[in-house]
Amino acid sequence: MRWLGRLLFLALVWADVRASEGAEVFLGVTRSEVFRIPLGILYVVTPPDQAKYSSEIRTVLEGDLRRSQVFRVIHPPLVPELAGGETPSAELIKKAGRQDLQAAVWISFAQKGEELMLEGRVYDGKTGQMVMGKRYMGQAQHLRTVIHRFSDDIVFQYTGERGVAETRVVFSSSLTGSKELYLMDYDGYNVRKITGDRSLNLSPKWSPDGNWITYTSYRGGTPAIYTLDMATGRLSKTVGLPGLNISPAWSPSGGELAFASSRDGPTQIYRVDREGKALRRLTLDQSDNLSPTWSPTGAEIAFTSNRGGSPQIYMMNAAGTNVRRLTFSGDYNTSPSWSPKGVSIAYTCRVDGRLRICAISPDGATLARLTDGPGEDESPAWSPDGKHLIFSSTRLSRGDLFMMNADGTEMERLTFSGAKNNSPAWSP
Amino acid sequence: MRNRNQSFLLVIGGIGIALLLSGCPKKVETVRGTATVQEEKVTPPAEGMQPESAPMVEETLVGRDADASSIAKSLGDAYFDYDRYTIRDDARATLENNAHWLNGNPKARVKIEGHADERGTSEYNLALGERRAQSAKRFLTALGVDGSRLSTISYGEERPACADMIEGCYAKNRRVHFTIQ
Repeated sequence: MRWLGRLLFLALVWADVRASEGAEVFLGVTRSEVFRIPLGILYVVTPPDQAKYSSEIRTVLEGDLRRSQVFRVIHPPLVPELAGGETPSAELIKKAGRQDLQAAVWISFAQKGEELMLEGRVYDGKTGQMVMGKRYMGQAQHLRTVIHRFSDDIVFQYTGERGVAETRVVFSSSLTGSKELYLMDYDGYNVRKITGDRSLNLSPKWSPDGNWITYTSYRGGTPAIYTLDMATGRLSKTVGLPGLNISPAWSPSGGELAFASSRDGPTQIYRVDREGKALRRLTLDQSDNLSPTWSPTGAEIAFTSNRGGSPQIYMMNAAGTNVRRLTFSGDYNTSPSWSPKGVSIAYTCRVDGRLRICAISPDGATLARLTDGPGEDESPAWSPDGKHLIFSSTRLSRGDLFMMNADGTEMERLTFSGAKNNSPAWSP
Repeated sequence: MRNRNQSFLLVIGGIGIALLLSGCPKKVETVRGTATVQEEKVTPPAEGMQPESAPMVEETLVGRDADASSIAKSLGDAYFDYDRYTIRDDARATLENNAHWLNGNPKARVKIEGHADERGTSEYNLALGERRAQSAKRFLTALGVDGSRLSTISYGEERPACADMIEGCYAKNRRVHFTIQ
């Protein structure tokens, strides 16, 4: 009966959301709450003097699993027998599973000096059978990474596709007065600075293998495109044409870099090979063309152009032919980002005078405005699983990063410095 | 049955830990045939970059006031409408003054910086700033200033002259600014 009430309530809320959205339709790739797998952490066993880690492990893992959009995290009743530290018997798990618990997680953690060991097991709540078990070893300082790895492994076990808890985000920030690039974990933790030349470092993008970050920097006085090798820290200039060199984007194969340059007057889209050679101009009109984003197959490129008078999203094939306009609603649509699943292009739209995040299907048939509220939102970027968008917003500060589901739900603030944090890019 | 299972697990677990201590195999423990506890070393991806602390090269970073001398007074900023790069009437007067000064100081080389206000996306504002700088350059060359003395650069919305989030400020940020090189 309570279930029925809950379902009815959800249906009403849903109807209400739909009604308020008017003709707009959500690109529904987010699993609704009721279809998620009920999961609970039964117990986190620690040595008596390390009990403080128990709640941190629980909090980080629950956050990861909730964001996975695969699981609904519930809190099973505490089973006192589990405190003994031994792996749980099928009977104990079934006892904890009274609340319709489908996946029951049991964790054993110990830290010794600089080393940690975390053993994670997932049991089927109905049968008590172990579904997966992993023992992770690493440095104590990498506890969050270890938990993220466990979460991604659980998501993989249940869906066949890894979660994104172990991914990172690079972004540009005015924290130190100039504009430097920073890295953070996908959940906003562990922020570290990766440039320090006190110039402007803008629009970072990952190479498809995650080994490089390519971005525009004014470090040499004029805006050129540089590539930072993440493993070695080596920085090289990739494109330094006269004028602007901005908005780089690697093709899905990593073999080609599309970018925009003003070397011929108006800003146009070009492409070069991996070494920055074999320059080819792709757009040929007299308007501004910039912010290229590749389709996941590499066959097409979406971009911003003001050839129709106002900035709009256009598409072309990767050779620059077959250009056609994708957005027609509103007079300011910029910074497209093609979903890694191919089904949606997120971009910055202006609605009622404010910048918002919108998403449109590549055939133009389905359009959705994903954000609302105070401030302005811009520069959306996809998570590698296509389930999340990260973007910058002035809704609570002068500029912080926020994450939300692909349909605009479950928005979460990730940075808190308010230092004009923008241009986020999600690692593969 | 459960007890037997548990002691079986304990034995296997003990062997597993012994193996682990002696240092190696991948599969440590087998439980009920199907799922196993696998062992894995976790290290985050290498991040070798060391944020450099080298001094910057860019001259304007020293501060906009570096040229706040008579030159700056001679070369005024020209302002633009939102999302536009056409020269307004008030900007026309400013640029005519600037052309006059440039024609009287034929050795001066000038960098024309195009700027935008923050209400827009950062990449589009870079293109817009470049357009504004190019507009100003075209206007000056039409008044007889040698184009080779004029270079352009866009800072988009990244170097505002005024920091508040109000229209009065935005209007001051949609500008071209001139620096003597």
